[in-house]
Amino acid sequence: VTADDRRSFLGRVVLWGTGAFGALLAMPVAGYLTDPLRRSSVASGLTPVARLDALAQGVATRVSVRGAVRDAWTRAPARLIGAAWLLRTGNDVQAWSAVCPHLGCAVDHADGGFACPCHDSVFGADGRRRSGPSPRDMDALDVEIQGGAVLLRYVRYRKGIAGREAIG
Amino acid sequence: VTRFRRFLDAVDERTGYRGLLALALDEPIPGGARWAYVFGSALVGVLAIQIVTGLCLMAVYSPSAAAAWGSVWWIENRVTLGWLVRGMHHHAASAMVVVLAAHLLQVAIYGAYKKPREANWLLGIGLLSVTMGLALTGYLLPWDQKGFWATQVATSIAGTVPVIGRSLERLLVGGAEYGTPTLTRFYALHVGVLPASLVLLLVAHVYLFRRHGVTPPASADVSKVGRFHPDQLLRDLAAVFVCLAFAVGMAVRGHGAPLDAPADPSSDYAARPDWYFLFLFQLLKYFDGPLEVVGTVVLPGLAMAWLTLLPWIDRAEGRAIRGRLVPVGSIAVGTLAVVVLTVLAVRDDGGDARLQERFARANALAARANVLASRGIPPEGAQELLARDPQTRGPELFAEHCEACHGLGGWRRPEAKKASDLAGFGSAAWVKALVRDPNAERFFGHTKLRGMEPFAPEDLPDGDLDAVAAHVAGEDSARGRAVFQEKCIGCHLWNGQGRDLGLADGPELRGWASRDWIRGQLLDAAHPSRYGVENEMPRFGDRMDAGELEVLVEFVRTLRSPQE
Repeated sequence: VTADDRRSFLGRVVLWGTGAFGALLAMPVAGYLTDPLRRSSVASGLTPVARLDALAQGVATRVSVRGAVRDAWTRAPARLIGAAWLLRTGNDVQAWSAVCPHLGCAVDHADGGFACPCHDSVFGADGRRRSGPSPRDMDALDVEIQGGAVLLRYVRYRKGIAGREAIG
Repeated sequence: VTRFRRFLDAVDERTGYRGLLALALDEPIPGGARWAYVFGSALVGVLAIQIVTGLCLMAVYSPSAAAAWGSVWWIENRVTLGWLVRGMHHHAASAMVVVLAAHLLQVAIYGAYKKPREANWLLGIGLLSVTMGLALTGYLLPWDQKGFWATQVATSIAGTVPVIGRSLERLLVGGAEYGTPTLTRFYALHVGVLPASLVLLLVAHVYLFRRHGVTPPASADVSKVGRFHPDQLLRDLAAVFVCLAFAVGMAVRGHGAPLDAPADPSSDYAARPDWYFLFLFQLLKYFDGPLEVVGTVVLPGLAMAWLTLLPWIDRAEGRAIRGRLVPVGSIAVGTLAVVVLTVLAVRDDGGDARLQERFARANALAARANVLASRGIPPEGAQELLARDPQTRGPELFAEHCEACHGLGGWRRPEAKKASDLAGFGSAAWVKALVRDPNAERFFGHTKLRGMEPFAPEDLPDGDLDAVAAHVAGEDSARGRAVFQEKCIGCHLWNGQGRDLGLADGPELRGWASRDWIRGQLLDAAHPSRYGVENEMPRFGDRMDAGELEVLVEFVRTLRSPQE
């Protein structure tokens, strides 16, 4: 065994050792930083957003939604979690999430329907996509009417895709 | 392989990385590689662990008084391998202190600070200070009892420094009192100012080290020259692995790092610093009154000054230990003092039964906070977990506000006014005992409420008593209702109706001992529907806030079941 052989062997040990140190350190880091991939959000229940008799017929009304939130370690009983557009027809109420299905801007009321101020997606009064980049219609939300109160189940959907997939 | 080599050739052609690598690795080591030289490199390895795990912690940690504890709890208990990352960071910090001490001792004993290496010794002292600063700022960040109280001591000591103390303390604390600005300042120091300083000093330190080379011991044969790579580097790497194994091993052993209950400025927590500052804590015990500043500032300051000036104190010609009695002796005495003081501090605490009891109570609170946190932490902050917990806060509030008059299970404060004993309050058994003997000492015997007629078994047979007691305690029955109408309604109210005989103003008993009833009693026991003019119980709405009142209400509700 020559001195050069020894040197080259030990050099390889150092190289692999350094690599092993890096790998050992990287493993917990990888698990730690990818934690959000293994976490799911809690679906919110029905929350009151308006009185039925306060909603004018055929006029879209914007309401903000409060709900219980689990924000990592914090549990907040009632926080603002989003907004929705309500449309009353007779004693029926339809609701759409105010989140644009394109890339998540806040959809606004527009002539005869809705429009997103960011990338000009335009939707009809029935929430259907008319023009612009949005890949789908506005996201309808579940509504129930109990004792004159309008209750809403607020859901966030993935954006930028044609299908409607809740973010869980 | 040849393709990979060709790729590396191409990279080298464009960057010259092999030259740089050779420059870094081919350093000659006169006298050959030694285990004694591993400490510096080991520190660099531990620093790498600290930077990597520290950046991970930063990705979750939230530096505010309301959120800090919760975020650390989340890391420790919920984030994948969060316990390991935090445990490694915590224990590698301990390893860093130990290896730093070893590095300092090695350099001092070898006389490696002597000309021309004085400047590098000063940089080393700077690195020591920065590392101590990192340790000190780090353990406040969880905003738990240990960090909160131990850091109070440290900043209070800063406040005792003559002349500038007041301003110094305020600057460290970020205001008059501990709060979010304290955390944000310590956070900025811990993750920004100090690590940046550490890296800058380290670059200069390594540069000067490479300029001067290693300092072999006086006895070494310097005609034999080793190389940094791989001879020394292999030893260094082994030392780094020992540190990594220690950090991982300790983290696995304790499943992370300790997390005390959330900081509570109103508690009686017994503050102790982390183990590497225990010697300073112990030193303080020997200096009282006006001499205190000697223990807090003067002695540590002198020791630090001595250490800093060691290259100039050591005037010996050579580096052999024999000719360097004063410098080497002073280092030995200093090391011994630190070790002895640390051992004494641990032994004093271990022999103090009262203190151990407090530690045990603190641990129980930490465990309780952990249970409560798993149900979610209120937005107001983790401190509210225990503060709103009837099981934890209830007995404290009861002791503070109720024990001046009320007893509990036959126990009473010696000086207490003699209002009713509340053990079992709210239960049918309590009602039954009261009805048989309302003027007993355990009920109204020593109060103005004295005077309710006792009901003997001839007037009220046991069966009727059982029924009416259950009725009052909330268990509705036809018989109970009937007995109440017959025997009680003459003096008592039920849903606002009653007192038909007009003989006495007995209190409202519908919903007796319910949350509403207890709250009403605490807020206004003199209300006409309660004890009226004969009431002696104060109004507690003025003595605690609404949240605490609810905690006390919940606690009183728990008294109905037998206590252990």
